[in-house]
Amino acid sequence: MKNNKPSFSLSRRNLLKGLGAASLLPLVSACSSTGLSSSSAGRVVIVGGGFGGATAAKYIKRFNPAIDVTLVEVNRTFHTCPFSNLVLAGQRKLEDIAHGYTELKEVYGVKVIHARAEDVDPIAHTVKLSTGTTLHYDRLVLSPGIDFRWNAIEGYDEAAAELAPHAWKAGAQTTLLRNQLEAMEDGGTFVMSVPDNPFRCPPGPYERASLVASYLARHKPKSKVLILDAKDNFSKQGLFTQGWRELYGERIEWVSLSNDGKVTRVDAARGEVETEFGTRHKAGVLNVIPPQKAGIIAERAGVTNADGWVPVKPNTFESEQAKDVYVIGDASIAAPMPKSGFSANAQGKVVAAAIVASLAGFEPVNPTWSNTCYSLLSPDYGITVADVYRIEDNKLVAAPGGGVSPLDASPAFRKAEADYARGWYEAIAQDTWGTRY
Amino acid sequence: MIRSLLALLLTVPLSVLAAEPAQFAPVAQLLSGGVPLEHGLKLDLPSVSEDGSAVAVGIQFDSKQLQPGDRLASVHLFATENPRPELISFRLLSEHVLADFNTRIRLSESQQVIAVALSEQGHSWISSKEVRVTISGCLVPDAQQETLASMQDPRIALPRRIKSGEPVELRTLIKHPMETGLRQTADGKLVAQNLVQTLQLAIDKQPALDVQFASGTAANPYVRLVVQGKSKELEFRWQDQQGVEVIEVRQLSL
Ligand SMILES: Cc1cc2nc3c(=O)[nH]c(=O)nc-3n(C[C@H](O)[C@H](O)[C@H](O)COP(=O)(O)OP(=O)(O)OC[C@H]3O[C@@H](n4cnc5c(N)ncnc54)[C@H](O)[C@@H]3O)c2cc1C
Repeated sequence: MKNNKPSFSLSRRNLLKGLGAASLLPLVSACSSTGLSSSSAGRVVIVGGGFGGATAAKYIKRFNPAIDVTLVEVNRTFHTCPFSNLVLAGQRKLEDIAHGYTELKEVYGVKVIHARAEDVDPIAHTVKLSTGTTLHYDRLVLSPGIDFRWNAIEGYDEAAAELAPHAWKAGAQTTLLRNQLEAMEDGGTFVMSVPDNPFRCPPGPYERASLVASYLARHKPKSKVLILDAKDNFSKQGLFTQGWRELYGERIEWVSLSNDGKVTRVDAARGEVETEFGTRHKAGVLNVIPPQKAGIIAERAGVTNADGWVPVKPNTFESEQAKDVYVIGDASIAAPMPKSGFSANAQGKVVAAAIVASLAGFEPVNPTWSNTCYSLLSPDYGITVADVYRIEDNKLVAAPGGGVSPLDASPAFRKAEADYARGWYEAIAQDTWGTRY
Repeated sequence: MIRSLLALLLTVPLSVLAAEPAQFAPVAQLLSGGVPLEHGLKLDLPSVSEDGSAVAVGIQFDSKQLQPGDRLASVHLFATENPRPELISFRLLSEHVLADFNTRIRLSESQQVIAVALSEQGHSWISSKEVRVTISGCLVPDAQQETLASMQDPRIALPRRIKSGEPVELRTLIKHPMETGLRQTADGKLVAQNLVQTLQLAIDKQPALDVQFASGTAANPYVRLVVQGKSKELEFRWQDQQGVEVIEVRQLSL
C-alpha cells in the first residue's frame, strides 16, 4: 500500500517547481507590483475545504508560511465522495470517509472558519460570510465543488432529493440512500438516473452501479440495477461492461440515450421516472444524479459562463473574468481533465504555487498535472485510467502516454488495482486533510 | 520571461479571433450575395463538449424579425472544421411548424458552428458559436457494442397534455449509425457511407417540414420540433440512402 502511489511523483514535481518559486520569497518581500493591501506576504481566502480547497490551503502554507491563509468551509466534517460508493454497498462506514481540519489549523496555521461564503465582490476584493463577517483578500481561491440544477429534470428539486437521494455530495445523502437500499425488498429495482456531461466524477455512476450490484448479489439476489443514462458513451465503458458480465451477469442493465435512457420527469413520492420518449420505470430505490453546475458561490462571484461552469486560464487556474480570483476543482472548466478529487488535489497544488509566485511578483511556472481515475467494480476488482496533462497553445491538453487497465486481465490483476485504489485513497486523504491510517 | 508574456498576449487574440462566419464558403454560397442580419437567430451550444460524437444543439428563430407577408423558409447548420461542413438543415413548408429545433451533431474537433436562416423573400440571418471539443481521458469505448446496418426503433414523443391552440412539442429519434464513409475499422478498411437522409413531416396530409440529415448529424438522428396546436394528424417519414422508408403516424387528440 505504501509504494502504490505512482502518480504522486508527478504532483511532487509540480510541488518542487512551486517550492522553487517560493524559496525566492525573502528576497522580494517589499515588492510593489503584487498589489498587496496590508500584510506584506499577502492574504489568501479559500472557499471550500474539499479536495481542491484544503489542498490549496495546506500547500500555500507549505510554500510560504508567512502568507495569511483563511479557509471558509460550511461543514466541520468533510465526507469524501470517493469511497462513498463502498459505504452504500455496506463495505465501509461513513466515519471511514470523514475528515477534519485539525492538521490544517494546528500544523500549518491555516485559519479555518466554519461558515457559508455568501457573496464575493471581486472589485473590492471581499467575501461576505453567513456570520456577517466580511473577509478581505489579495488572492481568492474558490473550490466550492458542484451545485445541482434543481428542476432541470421535471419534479426533481431539493424536497424530492429527500425521497429520491442523489448522494452526489457525500454525508447525510449517502446514509439516506444506504438506508433505502437496505430497506428495499428482495426483487426491487435500484434505478439510477445519470446526467449528460459535464458532471462530477464521470465513472462514478458506473462504479456505484457495480458496488450496489455486489451488495444485491449477496443480500437481495432477486434485485437488479437499472441505469438510465442521458449519454450514449461513458467513462471506461469497455472495462465496465466486461466486468459487469464477469461479476454480475445480467444484474446490471444500462439504457443509453438513444435507447430512451434520458430521464425527463421524476415522481419522487411514487419512486417513478419517465424518460424522454415516455417510458415509465418503477423503482424500489430511486437514485437521481441531477445535472450540475459550479457551486453557487462561483455564480455570485460572477465568474461562471453561460453553461454554469468557470472558464480559467489553464496555467494558473485564475478566472478569465475576475482578476485575483482562482477557481479549481469541479467548478472549473479544466477538460480534458475530469472532475475528480485527484484532479482537484493536483489543481490545488498548482494554484498554490501560482498564488505564492504571484504574491511574490513572479511569473508562474508552466505546470503539468496527472490524474488517475480508480473505479471499483467490486471490493476486489479495480480498474484505472491514468493521464498526464500539460499546456499547449495556452490550452490544457492530455499528453501522450496515458494508460488504461487492459481488457481481459486476470483476477489477481484486478485485485491489485483494487488495492492500489485503497492506497490512493489513504494517500490523498493524508495529503489533503492530514488524515492518518 | 517578458518575451514569453508578450508572445502570449499576441497569440491569444489571434486564436480567439474567428473567421467571419458569412465568409465560410458553404455559407457564402447559401447566402449568394445577401448580407445576413446578426440578431434574431439563436444558436444554443455548450462552449465545451467532452464528447464530440453527439453535441446537443438548439436553434430558434424570432419570427418578429420577419417583414409582414414574409415567412421563414429554411435553417441550416455548418461546422467549419469537420471533414464535411454540413450538419443538418430544416426546410419549413407550412405555417404549422415553428422555427424552434433541437438536434445532436458531430464535431470532429474544436471549431465554429454556424447557423443560417433564410426567408422566402430572400432575407437572411446568421449566428455562430465556438465549441471546444475535449475528449475526456476517461473514455474507453465498448468494442463489443453492436452497430446497426439499417433504421430501427423509430420513436416519437408527444406531450402528456395538449392544450387547444397551444404549440405542441414533439421529439423524434430513429436508431441508425449514420456512417460518414470516413470511418475505418480496426483492420483499416473504410466503412461505406450509410446515412438517414431525410425526415419528412406531413401535417393533415400536407408537407410541413423537411429535415435533411448529413454526415455531421449524430448517430441515431434526433429532432425536437414544435407544431401549432391546430394540427391533427402527423405523419413522419424517414428515408435512408438506400431509399428505405420508415413511416409513423400519430394523432394529436385534445
Ligand atoms: C460517488 C462519487 C465517487 C467519486 N469517486 C472519486 C474517486 O474515486 N476519485 C476521485 O478522484 N474523485 C472521485 N469523485 C469526485 C470528487 O468527489 C470530486 O471531484 C471532488 O470532491 C472535487 O473537489 P472540489 O474541491 O471541487 O469540491 P468538494 O470536494 O466537493 O469540496 C467543496 C467544499 O466546498 C464547500 N462549500 C461549497 N460552497 C461553499 C460556500 N459558499 N461556503 C463555504 N463552503 C462551501 C462544501 O461544503 C465542500 O466541503 C467521486 C464523486 C462521487 C459523487
